[in-house]
Amino acid sequence: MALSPEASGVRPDPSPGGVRSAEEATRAALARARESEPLHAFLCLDAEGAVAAARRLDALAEEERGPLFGLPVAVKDNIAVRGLPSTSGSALLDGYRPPYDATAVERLRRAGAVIVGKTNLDEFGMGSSTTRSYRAPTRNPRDPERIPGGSSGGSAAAVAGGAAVAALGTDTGGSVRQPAAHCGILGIRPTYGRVSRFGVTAYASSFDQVGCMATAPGPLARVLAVIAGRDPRDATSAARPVPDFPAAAARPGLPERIVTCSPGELRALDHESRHAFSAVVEALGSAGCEVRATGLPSAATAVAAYYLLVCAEASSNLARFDGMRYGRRRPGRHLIDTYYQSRSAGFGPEVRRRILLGATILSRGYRDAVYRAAARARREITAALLSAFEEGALVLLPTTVGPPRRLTDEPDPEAEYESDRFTILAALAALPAISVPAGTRAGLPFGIQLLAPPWREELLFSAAAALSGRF
Amino acid sequence: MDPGDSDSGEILKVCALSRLNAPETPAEHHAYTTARQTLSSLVERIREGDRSRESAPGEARSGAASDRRDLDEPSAEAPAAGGATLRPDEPRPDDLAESLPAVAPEFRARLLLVPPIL
Repeated sequence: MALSPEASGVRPDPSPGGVRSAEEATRAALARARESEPLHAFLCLDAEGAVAAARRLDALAEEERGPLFGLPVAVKDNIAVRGLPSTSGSALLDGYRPPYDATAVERLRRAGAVIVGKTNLDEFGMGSSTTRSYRAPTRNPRDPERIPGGSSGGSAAAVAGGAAVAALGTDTGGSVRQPAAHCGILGIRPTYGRVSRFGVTAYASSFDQVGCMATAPGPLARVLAVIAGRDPRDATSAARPVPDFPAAAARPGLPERIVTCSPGELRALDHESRHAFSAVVEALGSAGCEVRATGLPSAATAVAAYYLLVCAEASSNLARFDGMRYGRRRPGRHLIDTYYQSRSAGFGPEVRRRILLGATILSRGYRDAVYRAAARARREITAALLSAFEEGALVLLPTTVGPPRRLTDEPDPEAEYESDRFTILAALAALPAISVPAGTRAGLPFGIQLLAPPWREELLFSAAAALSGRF
Repeated sequence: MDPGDSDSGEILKVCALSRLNAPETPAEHHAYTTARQTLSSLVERIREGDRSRESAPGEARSGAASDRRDLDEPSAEAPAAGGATLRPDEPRPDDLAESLPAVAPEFRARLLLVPPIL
């Protein structure tokens, strides 16, 4: 059962004003979501609420309609949507319904988008496969025997399967870009601070960013333009002007020069992926864009720095889920025991593992020797990446090291951490990055990643538009 | 688990810090032991990165002098041997504000600014 958006009633790239009836577009998306239920892309579909919202939109006069009028959008389940379950893929939060919208969701609604449902994820965003949800794992629409990537795998599968035109995800170390690549769609992680994190369940606060996914640069740019910008409820959101992303996406263009990593770093790719990446480099050269190999930071060090830091931040952030302040309570013999029982029963194995790692890293003795060393590595990686932009306008990398694995293959956690090696660089340096489909390898989607200097997402949209359909 | 065994003792301490039950089954114990191995492996990579940079001739090392403490150079707080000195008898910072002293200064501002979530 391979699915594609073309097979659904949902147009994958409706231009502004292209949706004539919000209700029609919403019903088509919902029908597709129901047909593709075996993919487990959604944790919750809001058919009633979505159709009601679409009808309200249809009743608006033409001039009152927003830039995302009638666009069916799916939202990752760690982003609050008022009145809908928001579990972050964790048994600990089963049954929780936030009484408010995240800022990104609020802005989507104001712009005329219709929220069709909440999508599956690895618990609290900790994973690269969407097999670590407390519910069923999500399947890849391109090959349902394989993972869709993660942790925003439900959002990627919803878009790739035609159940939504666009989706929100969160990207801590690649959780938007990696599933986008595995499912053959586009996914962007904006600059840290570009989009408010208000209403997003915190995993690693200095890395988490809300990103979006779509099958074409146009709708992707329109969604990011709507959700971007300063939010007084998130002091880490930046008071910077938001460039005209849709205009950039409508103006395809590649820079004269792009830099990429050394051939040695590409040895992490499997044979087919290396071949596919070489084909991209050749195609860029043919299009007049020089691709120059340069000394980017070592991915091996980056993986280590990243996991040491995110586990430390996760252990702090998840301390609040103790069954008393937040989360489902499992009564113990006394208060402290209630904490232990609630946390031990509520968190899955990978979340417990990262909490333990983080608690160790922040404990006496390790704090200076490990945490500060990882933070220093992060600063050095950031400096090295920023200096790479002096040689080329963008950085080109593969998005993934290989094709999505089969659902039945369970790698050890450390091996799974390795699969993030090309996406975590942008996360460590707080840079914007986009994953763009670049053909297939062994019949499965292959994605390349472009990184831009801070606050220059418009360069990514122009380049993505230039690359779209080229492979 | 035998708290007298140093490896098990460390696991018990960090479970207490995390307010998680100690591993009960062999599978859980294996998972926790593997987590510690992962930590060692990640730390070794950071050290390897530092060594590579130090051995690169003429390459400037960035960062303030105060941040340049070498991983091989024990800190005032570092244990003499046998891993970290976890102190479960000390108050465990279990919310964001209380945990800030354990976080490097450059991250404190960001963590303080985390919006109210859930």
